[in-house]
Amino acid sequence: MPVTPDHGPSREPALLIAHSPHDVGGQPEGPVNVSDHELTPFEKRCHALLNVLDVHKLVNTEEKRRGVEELGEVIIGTLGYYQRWAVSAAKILNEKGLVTTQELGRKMIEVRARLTAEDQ
Amino acid sequence: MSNRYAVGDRIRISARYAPGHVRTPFYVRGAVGHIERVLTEFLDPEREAFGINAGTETQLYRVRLDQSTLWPDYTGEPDDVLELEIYEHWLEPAPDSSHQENPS
Repeated sequence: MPVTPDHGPSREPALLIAHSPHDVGGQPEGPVNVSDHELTPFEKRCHALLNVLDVHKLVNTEEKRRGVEELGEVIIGTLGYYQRWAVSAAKILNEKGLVTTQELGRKMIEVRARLTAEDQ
Repeated sequence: MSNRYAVGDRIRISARYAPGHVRTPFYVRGAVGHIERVLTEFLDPEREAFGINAGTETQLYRVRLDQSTLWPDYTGEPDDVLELEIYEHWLEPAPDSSHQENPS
């Protein structure tokens, strides 16, 4: 295995498999946006929910991070930070049999209907 | 608990590429530096990531690397360093002369 600092995605299978798309250190990129961002209500609730899941040993921090890493390059690059957390939590809870896809799907319809009604 | 490494020891960060949840950034794997500080023990994140919440305490170290050894085209000050925290199972002893090798 070549010992090289990483300067971008590799096509070498072992490196491609091991290199999660969140690990972007050293890759070419534009300037970092350092402006302040005020958290939205969704982001605050999402952060609180993941803290609760961690405290109750349902989804720990490293499981949450693994769930994000497994989303793949396109989803990681498209969703916001807390959106990735929310999807990761759903994945991990599903893996552990604590939430089913059916329950989650029905709840998503319910929440969407409520939010749509609030908007009108 | 005795630690495998002490402050000042020359170390190499392992160049391993197994799939999993790993906290060692890609761009430092294989790099040579030294132990800047011995920290405390934490659960192994590689196990925690798969729901192991106890019994995997692993020693963490702060490691110092020369920026000029990490980046072949580095144009900053020659004594610029990078410090990052690495778990013991990602470290290997490196001979004193290792700093002359270029990990790239």
